[in-house]
Amino acid sequence: MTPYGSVFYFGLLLYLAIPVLVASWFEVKPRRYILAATLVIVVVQFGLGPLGLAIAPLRDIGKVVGFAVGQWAVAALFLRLRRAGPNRAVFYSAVLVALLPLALEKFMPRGTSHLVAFMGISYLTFRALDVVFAVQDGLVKELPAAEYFSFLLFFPAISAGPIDRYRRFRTDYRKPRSRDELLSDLDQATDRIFRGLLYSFVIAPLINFYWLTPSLHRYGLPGVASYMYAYSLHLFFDFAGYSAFAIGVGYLFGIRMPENFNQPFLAKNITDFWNRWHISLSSFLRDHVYGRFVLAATKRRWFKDRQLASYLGSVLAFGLMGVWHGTAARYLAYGLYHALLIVGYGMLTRPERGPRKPLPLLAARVVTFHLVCFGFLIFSGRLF
Amino acid sequence: MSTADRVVATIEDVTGEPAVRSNRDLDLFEHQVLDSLRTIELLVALTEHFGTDIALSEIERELWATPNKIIAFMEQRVGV
Repeated sequence: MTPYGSVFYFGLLLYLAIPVLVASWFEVKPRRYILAATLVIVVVQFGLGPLGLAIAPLRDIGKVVGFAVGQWAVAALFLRLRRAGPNRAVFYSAVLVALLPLALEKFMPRGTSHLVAFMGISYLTFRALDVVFAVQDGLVKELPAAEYFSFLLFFPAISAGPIDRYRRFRTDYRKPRSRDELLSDLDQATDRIFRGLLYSFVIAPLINFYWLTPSLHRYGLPGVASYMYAYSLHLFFDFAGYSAFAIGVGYLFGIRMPENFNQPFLAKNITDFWNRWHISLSSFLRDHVYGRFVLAATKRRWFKDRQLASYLGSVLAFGLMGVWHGTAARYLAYGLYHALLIVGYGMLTRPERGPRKPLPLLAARVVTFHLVCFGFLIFSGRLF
Repeated sequence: MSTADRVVATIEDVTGEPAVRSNRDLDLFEHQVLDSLRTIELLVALTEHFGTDIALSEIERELWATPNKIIAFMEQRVGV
């Protein structure tokens, strides 16, 4: 069943939220219940067909449960080994094993990848990796199973994020909320859920019906340009709407997940854009891929030019982001395109080139918007 | 030299921005004094300067947003 796609789904999750709200009123954090509610939704979501009618084979539930148990085993084993002190070989092995199901899903020959694939596997993999990184850094010293599964499978974000961080999640999960916090959470939840309704069920379908679908059949430069704008705006409202639902429902359960979008089309340069678009993904890649690479390069002095480490780190992070979306050529091209933009912008604004007069704000926004939209045009697959 | 003074000196050293001395509540990311690369360079510099290990995943932008916040972070780590 598609999350946030039917009245049945919304009804189910709102009923599941009631006991949490009642418990919160008495300042109790129903941790076990949060896990139970998550498992109920996992079974319903993966056990029912798209409209909630037909029953899908049990295999789908099996894949999710198998994935989660496997990731937990990797993390728990790694934690035991980590207690003996950091060991780079063990760390890399843990990362590789945690990545294995996703890699199988991405690179297995056509027709067999459904053996491991389920909706949301790429998001769950990144959340599982976040735990491995936190263990390696010595910031996580215990891994209670219930808490781990609540984090990994937390149902509002299971299929498309936001990609929460384990240590951040743990703080919310453990701490009971006061009545004041409950009321403010309810406020936030209402705000997000109504924004989600507006974005996902009003604006995105309108764009789709009146603009995106008609422009599919228009050719030539004006036709493709029109499609590019329509696709970019539709993608934003659809995805930001979904994130708003996820964050809103998270608030009902007392889990304040990170924001995923912050007016991305008002970005004044490409770096600014990535601080505003799919923030939970870009910050994950910034901290765990770019950051780790540049840190290692700086500490061990791999490059004479420190800026070079930063450029290579960006190529690595954005290349990975491309593949994370899929292995089709257009996704890799999308990642490399953004790497190119980031590196180009970095070169243009290098401090040693002296202060330069920036573009007027409006012009900077218009240029950034168009560069970004062209990226989405690559992403859409209309070009190749 | 107090921890606070040493932290501020390190920030100025890494970023080349003298304003961090006079305004310790300057939003470093907002004013592009720190970006992803400089944050990591600052982490390495502070690690070397104070001889303490700081893990990358410990620093969130919120936690290192101003000189004062970085001072508080380091004071908690190595004392005043």
